[in-house]
Amino acid sequence: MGFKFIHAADIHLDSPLRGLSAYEDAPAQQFRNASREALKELVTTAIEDKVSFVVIAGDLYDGDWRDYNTGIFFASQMGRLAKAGIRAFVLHGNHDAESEMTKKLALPDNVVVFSSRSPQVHRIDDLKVALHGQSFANRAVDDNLAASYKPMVKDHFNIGVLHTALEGYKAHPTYAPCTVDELYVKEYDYWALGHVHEFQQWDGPSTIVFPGNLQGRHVRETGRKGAVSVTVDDSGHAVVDRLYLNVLRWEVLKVDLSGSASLDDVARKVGRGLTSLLEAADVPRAVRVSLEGKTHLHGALFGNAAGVRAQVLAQAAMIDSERLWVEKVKVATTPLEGPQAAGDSNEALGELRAIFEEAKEDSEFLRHLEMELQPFLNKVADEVKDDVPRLDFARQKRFADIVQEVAPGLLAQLNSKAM
Amino acid sequence: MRIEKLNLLAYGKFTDHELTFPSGKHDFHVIVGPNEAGKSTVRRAITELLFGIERQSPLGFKHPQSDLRVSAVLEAASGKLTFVRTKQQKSLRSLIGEPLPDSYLDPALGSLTQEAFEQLHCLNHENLVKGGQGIVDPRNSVSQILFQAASGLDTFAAVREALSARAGELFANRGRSNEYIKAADRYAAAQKRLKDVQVRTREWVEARDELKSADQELDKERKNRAEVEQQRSAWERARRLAPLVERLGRLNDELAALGDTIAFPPSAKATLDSGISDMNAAAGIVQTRENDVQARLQELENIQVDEKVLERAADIERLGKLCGLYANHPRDLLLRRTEVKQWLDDLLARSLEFGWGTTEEEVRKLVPQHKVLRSIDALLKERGALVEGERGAQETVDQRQAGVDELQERLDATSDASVDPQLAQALSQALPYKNSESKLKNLLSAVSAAQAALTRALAALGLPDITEEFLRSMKLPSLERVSAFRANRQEIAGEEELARSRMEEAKETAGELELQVTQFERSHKVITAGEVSGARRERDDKWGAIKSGTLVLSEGAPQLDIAIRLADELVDARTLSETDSVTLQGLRDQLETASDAHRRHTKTFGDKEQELQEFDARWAEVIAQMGLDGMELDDMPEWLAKRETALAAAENHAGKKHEFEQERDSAVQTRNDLAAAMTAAGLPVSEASGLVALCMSADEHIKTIDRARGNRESVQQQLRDAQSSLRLAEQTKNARTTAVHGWNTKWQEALNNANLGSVTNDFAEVEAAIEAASFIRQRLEKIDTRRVERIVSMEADLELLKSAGLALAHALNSAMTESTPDELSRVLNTKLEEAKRQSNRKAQAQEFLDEAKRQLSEARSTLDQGKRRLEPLLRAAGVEDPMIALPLVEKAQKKVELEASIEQTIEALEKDSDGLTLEQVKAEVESHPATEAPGRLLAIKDCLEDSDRKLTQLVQGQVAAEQKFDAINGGDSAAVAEAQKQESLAEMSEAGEEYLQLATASSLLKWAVDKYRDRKQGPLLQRASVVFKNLTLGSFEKLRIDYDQSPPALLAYRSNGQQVTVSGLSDGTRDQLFLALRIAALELQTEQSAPVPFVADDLFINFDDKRSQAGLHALYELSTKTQVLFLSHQEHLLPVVERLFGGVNVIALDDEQVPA
Repeated sequence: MGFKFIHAADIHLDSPLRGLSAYEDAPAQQFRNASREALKELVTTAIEDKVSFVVIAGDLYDGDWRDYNTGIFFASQMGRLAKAGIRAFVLHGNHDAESEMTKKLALPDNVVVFSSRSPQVHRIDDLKVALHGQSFANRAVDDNLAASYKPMVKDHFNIGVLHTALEGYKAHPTYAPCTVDELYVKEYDYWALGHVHEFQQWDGPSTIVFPGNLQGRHVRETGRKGAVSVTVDDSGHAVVDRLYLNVLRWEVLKVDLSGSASLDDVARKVGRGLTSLLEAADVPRAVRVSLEGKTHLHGALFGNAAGVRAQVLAQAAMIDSERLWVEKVKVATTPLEGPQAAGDSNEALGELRAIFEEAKEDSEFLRHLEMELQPFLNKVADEVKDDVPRLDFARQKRFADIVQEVAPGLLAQLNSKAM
Repeated sequence: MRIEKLNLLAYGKFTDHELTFPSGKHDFHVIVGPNEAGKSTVRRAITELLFGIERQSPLGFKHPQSDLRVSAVLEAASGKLTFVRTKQQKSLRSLIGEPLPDSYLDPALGSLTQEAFEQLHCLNHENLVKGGQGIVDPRNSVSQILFQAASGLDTFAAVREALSARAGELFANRGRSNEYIKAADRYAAAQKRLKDVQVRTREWVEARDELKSADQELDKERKNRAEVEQQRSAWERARRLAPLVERLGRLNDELAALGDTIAFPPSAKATLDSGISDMNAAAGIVQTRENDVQARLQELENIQVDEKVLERAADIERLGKLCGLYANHPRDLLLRRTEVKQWLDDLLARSLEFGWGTTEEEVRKLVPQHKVLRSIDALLKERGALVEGERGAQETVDQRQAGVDELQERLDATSDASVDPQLAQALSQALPYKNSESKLKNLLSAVSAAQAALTRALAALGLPDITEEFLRSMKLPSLERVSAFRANRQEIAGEEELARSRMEEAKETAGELELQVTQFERSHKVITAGEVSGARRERDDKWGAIKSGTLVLSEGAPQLDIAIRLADELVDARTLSETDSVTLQGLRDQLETASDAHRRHTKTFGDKEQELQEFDARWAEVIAQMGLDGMELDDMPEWLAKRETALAAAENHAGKKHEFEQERDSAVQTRNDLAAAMTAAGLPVSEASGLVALCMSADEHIKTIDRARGNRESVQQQLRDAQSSLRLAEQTKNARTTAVHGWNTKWQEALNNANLGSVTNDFAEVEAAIEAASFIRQRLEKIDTRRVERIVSMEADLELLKSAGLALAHALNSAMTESTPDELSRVLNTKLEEAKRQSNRKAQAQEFLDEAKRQLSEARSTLDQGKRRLEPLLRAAGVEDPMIALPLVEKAQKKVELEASIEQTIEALEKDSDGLTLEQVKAEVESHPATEAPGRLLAIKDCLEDSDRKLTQLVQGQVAAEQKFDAINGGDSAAVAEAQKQESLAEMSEAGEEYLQLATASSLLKWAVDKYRDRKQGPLLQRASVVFKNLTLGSFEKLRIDYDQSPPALLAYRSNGQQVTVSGLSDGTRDQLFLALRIAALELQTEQSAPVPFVADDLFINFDDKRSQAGLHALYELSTKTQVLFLSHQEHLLPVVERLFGGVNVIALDDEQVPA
């Protein structure tokens, strides 16, 4: 008998979106609950598609997240599934294992949680499905859990549920390590994996799938996110379809400024880019705008981050402030080789360039710079770390590196002023 | 310029007072004297000597004004200038009084003005200060040289200010209005909110447990209350039900008294009453209905209907319809027939023209068919194109033939020559050598360079007349062997050196020890055991001599005494000097050891020295065998390397040479080959022609032939193309002619088929015939259509109508068989309507009759029912008359009522018994006597009130616990707070990142601009900085311009970095600053133009001694560049000067010459 199920993982419920500031027109109110909305979408889709069951392969919530309301919310969503007669099989990964919520949360009867003590097999007799799995007992599980999973159940559709880094995913901690071949050896029909936040599928003797995380949470998790819907026909053949359930999608919009004549031009180009993003989109976007290319505006952009950002935000507000949230405006342009300032200024610039070079080696200057920045470094919170490489330099007392990074832009600005 | 001599001939207090300033390495002269000694006079004399004496000179107090005179010998670049300055008209005079031109001093002064001289070169303290103020004032044009470093950076100050201002907006150490701190505040607020709204798992568990326990307590209390409530119910129930229990007893008694009755149904009385009344009424109704039925029967008999007409009603109506439909047919039929006749006449007229018959039947037979007409028409259309095609094809054939002829002529006119393959090959071989001349030059110069390098390398070997062959043939030790030699020698030399140093060390140690022994012996009287035993021996000898009598007692006794005392003293002394003696012995032992060591090391050294000499001799021998007499071993590796270099140079030279020769020979060979091939091809070749000329000539020849050949091939190709085109055109023309012939045949056949055989080639007539045939065909079709569709159909309709009328008349036996169908129809319709009316009336009367019969039947049935209803009752009562049954029924009813009352009472009891059975109620009433009830109920009420109070509290507690538990409902407050936290964090990151960028940029720019200005400062400031530092003994580090002030200002920097403005300096330091500026300016000036003497008149009055010395140093240094005349009243400086710079020219002025 054919059936259909949904496989999701890494829901990280109530894990906040990072790097987004709540500027005046930002749709902050709307997306502070993005992970909850995505979970609701998942449940709604399961009900509408009349799936037989849902598999969640670990990391329901962040390990350091303490609010019990999150658990209750999850339980309420599982309750929706229960009303529709849909079972849910939940496995705890490295993040859940840490959470005290995991131990206390009372879930509706339709939810089956894989034990962390030993590998378990849960059968669904009417569908002839067998689900194998073992939850993490603690955060750092370094053993190959899959190795001790039970043998496949004959004449059943066997699903292995596993939270693992699998081979070759260096971006994620290598918990419960194993290889694709080791999974094939089990002769299961389908492996429902979790932990890696990017979608990935292997179609070998078993179908192995990482569905990716349900909702991107920062700019390093760009692109469409969601779960997968798996349709199994009478012969046991599985077809995997992706479900895009994210309510806010992360993007990096690269805008080439070569040929731009003014900051107004820049604004227009950014505006066009943002518009085309939305045109192509069905969900709202969190966008990092990266200004690139060789341009004579390079100097004018340096030191005017606030102005450039204001321009970009104005564009976003004009286009659709409800559906666009600008994460950051990154100036990554390079100066145009070409006209230089004339006369004394040019000579002075040449000398200044040389002096800037010396500054990196000049211990007296570096000491002075350290003193200048020290009050800020004393005040700056430890939590400020995402995407501020200069702060890392400053904390490591690598002031020469900061100078190295700042000097070219400053020179370009001086050159543009002197022309 | 310098002043060699100055003679104050008659000037101030001086008369013929000569000051000489001999030149030297340092042109530094000190003129010293107390106040009033004339120092200022000398300074003034120098100014006036050079620029003229003031008209009213204050110095004309001893000599008359007009006699004031000063003479001098100046050294200028052009030579010596000797002159006298007077107050005469021509103030410059020779020594013998002859006037000199005003320009006499130009070689010495150049463009120097008196003002500049007084401000820069000839200073007293007052001028020093006054002029100094002018220099540090940026508004003074003279000072511009100081402030020149600001150019090129004007715009950058604004940039830095903007960066700094924005950085300040982002972060400031103080205040809370900057962006970072605001974001941080928001972060803290969100953090606090998160803490407030976050629900920990433990809190949830507590809330759940609290709710559970509240629920349990509430349940318990409710149970307790229910029990009390039950008791209260029992007492109240007993009190409430007691009257009912009593009534039930009474009713049961009454029922028993009534005895047996007939069992009638409960409705028996009512049934009996209504039955009697209903039967009476029904009997009356039956009579009325019977009368009504009789009346209706009579009415029906009186109605008559014409059934025959009614039977044929459908036919009559159809006849009427047909009459209406065909009313216009007769007139219309006439019109159509006339029309057809007209069309027939028209077509017969046209057919006559072409002989296609005179009657309709003939025409239908002879007129050509459509198919035939179409084929004629098609042939007509084809004809033009065919004829035109044939003509065009013929023209094309003619044109192509002309083209072929022309190309054949052109081909015949071209020639068919080809290139000699040998020549082509020779040329292709020669071409690479076309540029060989310059290549040969390059190769030759490379050979020369290699030769020179070889010569140099050979010379570097330092052997006369050495050749490459000799160098190769030399049997030399390998570098490894030489290295081994060197290592060996170094080893021996090292050992020798070691032995030597050990020897010397041992010698030194021995010397030192020897000295120590001597010194120790000198300073310590050490009694040795030998001395003691000597003294004892002396004593014992004396004693022995006395004893033996050799010595007489009188003489010997005192000697013995002395000897005993001496021996005892020695023993005592030895005891005392025991330590010293041990020390001395130790020293002696050490000395002996050291001497031994010295001897040993001396021998080792000698051995090693000899070994080294032998080694060197061996090396000299080895090297001599190789022909390298006197080559030092240490030089050998370098020489070997040089030899390698020389051999490499030789090899390189040979290679280059070979390359050159090969290139040259190849070039000659290819030139000769080319010349031979050209001659063979019949081209003129001169002996003098070089390879380049030959290549060009051969190349031109080949290109000419190639061009001609290409041309001929092109014409041939064109001719082939043209011939092929001609063939195609001829084929086309033939095909077209055949097509025309075919057409002609078809045309004749078609005409015959159309019965137009006589018309032949008159195409216009054929076209007219086609048109006529077409017309005739159309008309025939129209005629056929009209006949079939209209005329024939109308004739049929009329016939049908007539036959229908006749049939109807016969059927109804009507006498109207001769009438028209219209008349017949009218009469029959009238009859039909009358028959229908009568038929309707009859049907209605029948309906009334049926209704009356039904009502009669109903009335009879009602009467029967009444009787039947009473029948069971009467049977039960055993009577036939209903009136007799009445009292029996009433008694039975009474019993029923009693039973109902009992039933009601029991029901009331059960209703209020709260589910208890009747027996239980009776028992309860008995056990809860009504008399006790009030007291019991009051006590129970108190109990209940207590329970209520308790319950209220418990419910409140439970509600609170429930609210607390329900508040944890999966809400998103914490998630939202966390999101807000992250948003603030993002803002902090952004502000922080930008701040770090801008603060760094601002600092960097400020530092870089300062640095830039430091470097760009004028040489004057740079030099003045150095001098000022020296003058202030390092208290001040440097001088800088502060361009951030407007106007810019000069700043002095203390060694600790502190900045001081000029007005903030002490008087002394200020004087030092001004002097430093002057010295720097003078130094620069002397570099750019002829030097001018510097006269310093008591400039150090504010200097302390040390700074005065520093000042002297500075001036002394300046004196290497220009002449310095240092005037001072501070005589105590003289010894200092002497000490500092011995041999300085010092001129002392005394005050004796002051007039009284």
